[in-house]
Amino acid sequence: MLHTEIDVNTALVLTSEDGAEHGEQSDAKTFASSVNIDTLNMVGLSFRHAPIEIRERLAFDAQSLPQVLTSLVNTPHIGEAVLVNTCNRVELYVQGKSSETLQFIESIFARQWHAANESSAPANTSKDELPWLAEALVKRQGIDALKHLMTVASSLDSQIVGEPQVLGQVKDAYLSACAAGSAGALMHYAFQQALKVAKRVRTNTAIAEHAVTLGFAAKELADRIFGPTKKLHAIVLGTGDMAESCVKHLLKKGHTLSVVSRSKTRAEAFSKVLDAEALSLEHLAAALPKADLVIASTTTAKPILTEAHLKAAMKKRRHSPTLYIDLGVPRNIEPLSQAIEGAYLYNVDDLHGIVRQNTKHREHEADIARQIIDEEIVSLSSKIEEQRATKLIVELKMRAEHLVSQELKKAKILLAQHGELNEIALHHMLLSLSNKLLHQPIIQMKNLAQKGPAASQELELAAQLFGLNK
Amino acid sequence: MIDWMTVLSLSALIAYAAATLAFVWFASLARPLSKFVAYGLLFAAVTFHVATVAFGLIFGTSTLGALPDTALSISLLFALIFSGLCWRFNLAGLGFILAPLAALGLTSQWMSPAHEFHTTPLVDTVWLGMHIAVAVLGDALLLLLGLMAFAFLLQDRFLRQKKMGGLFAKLPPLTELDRLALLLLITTFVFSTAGMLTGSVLAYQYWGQEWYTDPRQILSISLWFGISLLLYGRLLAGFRGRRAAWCTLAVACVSLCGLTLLPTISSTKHQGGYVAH
Repeated sequence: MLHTEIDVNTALVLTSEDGAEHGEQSDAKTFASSVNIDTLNMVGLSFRHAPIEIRERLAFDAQSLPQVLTSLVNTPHIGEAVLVNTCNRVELYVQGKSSETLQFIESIFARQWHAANESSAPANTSKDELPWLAEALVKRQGIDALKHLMTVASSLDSQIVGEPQVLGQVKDAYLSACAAGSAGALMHYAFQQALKVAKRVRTNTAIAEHAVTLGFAAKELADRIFGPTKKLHAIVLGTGDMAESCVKHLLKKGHTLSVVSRSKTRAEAFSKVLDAEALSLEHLAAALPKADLVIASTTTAKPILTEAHLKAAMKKRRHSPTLYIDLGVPRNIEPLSQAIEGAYLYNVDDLHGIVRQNTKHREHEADIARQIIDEEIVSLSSKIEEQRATKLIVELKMRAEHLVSQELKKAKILLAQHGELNEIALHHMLLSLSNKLLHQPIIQMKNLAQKGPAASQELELAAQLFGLNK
Repeated sequence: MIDWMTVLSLSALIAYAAATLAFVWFASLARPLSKFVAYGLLFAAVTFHVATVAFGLIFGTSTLGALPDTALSISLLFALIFSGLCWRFNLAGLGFILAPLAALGLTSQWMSPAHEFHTTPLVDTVWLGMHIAVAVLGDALLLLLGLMAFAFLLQDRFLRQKKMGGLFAKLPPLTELDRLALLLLITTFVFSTAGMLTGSVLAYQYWGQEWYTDPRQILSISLWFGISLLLYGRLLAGFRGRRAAWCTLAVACVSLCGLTLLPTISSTKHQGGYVAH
């Protein structure tokens, strides 16, 4: 069993029950020194590039996931692997540098496609057999792949921007890979950075605030009237899809529900789905005073609930607040009813109006979230470049030391032969050392010079590197 | 020499102003971080406010019961009770109204003209201390009750207009405001009854039979009747919603106006709590 916690530096620490730690614990700098972000690859597709018919065939089921991940990392092309499998996307994050890695992943998706279609996938199935798949698959590499992962974890690449589930799904994908042993230093680094950024986005923006669907808009209204914790009794008038969708968003544990329909059979069938009490239309007036929430979504020429019905119900409730949501067109509840004390009536246009206001708000917050991701990417890129520069400096120093030791060997031989080093020999030795040190830069500069004016920038850089033209 | 009372008051005032801005930030942009910043600043403001009142009482620069100091104490209790309620109820959406009101109470010490108040041996008793304590607490609770009623009316208005409310989008839920208002109404009734009874006994002892003709006593009794009627209506007659909120707001406003204006417009013997000579 794995537990997760985010520490101060928001590096995700995974500990098993025996206390053993999976993954890195230290801050981002430690990770950066041990990973090469250029080897991070993402191949997959999302709702943007493939319809649900394709996504559902390419999805990996949870039970076979550990096996899939283990078999992936046992291949020569892939060092580490994490599979992010949600209703909106199937994305495989792998560590591998060779061009075969991408081809290999494409072949895995092709095999998955064949397996889903219940046709026997030949052992050497490749992308060539499914050219449309190769085109549909999105590929990202290096820092772009990391940026994409951050965007996904921050819920900016979701069908409903800001939906909270995706962060948990990304975290679960990472944990599954840790449990399967397919996540190494690179995946720890990439996913912990992505989760850290997603958390920063959640904390610093209101991206998850404000409902952007009809169901959630109704829930937001209910929360503004009753609060998120009050146990409510709801009545649903009608058995349509809209009513069902709305009820599923609104009702939580502890809420009770009555379903009212003209047809008792339909009311009973609907109430079974929602674990509710079925009522016939004749009992509606009697049941109304007990309801905190009424959702009306039935087809009717005239309003079923009149002002008189609501007045009587509200009087019996002693004007305790009641939310009436009328999703019907023509309307199911008489519009005059909204003047009654304690009754809050919303029709489908009102809900759409709220959704429009909230969508604008979320778009604004999404822009801020993108800025946060860009900031993080710039900061990480500069850290990675710093690491690269450090590596280069170390290599350069080692090379110089190697050349020095070579020349020293020669000098020792001369010293052994002649008993002393004269000025000419010393000059020759130092000249040879400087020639060797400058050999590669001079060759590269000559090659660059052959390119003509196109190489002027590189030559300028070389001049800067050696402190020339000051 | 440093005037510590002024330093503490100014610190509290700055913290209240910063808390107001942070609550506006929370209400308008709903950043999760803003809520913690706002509560932190409110806590700092209340701490400085407590220090101001405590300093005044310990070093004798405040006269307990004098109008400016009463306002200082009421605003402190107002902020303290609100902060306490925030632990149980989600009231952050009201912070940007509360913080400036508490700051206003704090500034009353500079706005009111300086009066010299003297205590007489008769009223300088524990009984008087009790009267002041319960009366001040009752006033603070009534003001907070008024704030809840105001918030209820705003929330109701936005819900009826089908607007999300902009700056007021983070107001507490309607039923929560209603429940809180009832809770505050009951406690206000308890403290105002205690305040009125202790005050009446003192006034009878000091002024004799004429105590009931004093404008402040008449106002107090009227307000107490108003609060009692509201409580009766809420508990037994199903009086709630907008009408109840308007009535509550009216009682709170009359109380606030009475407290601040009565000593200047009438010849009441009761000026904040002590007799002015």
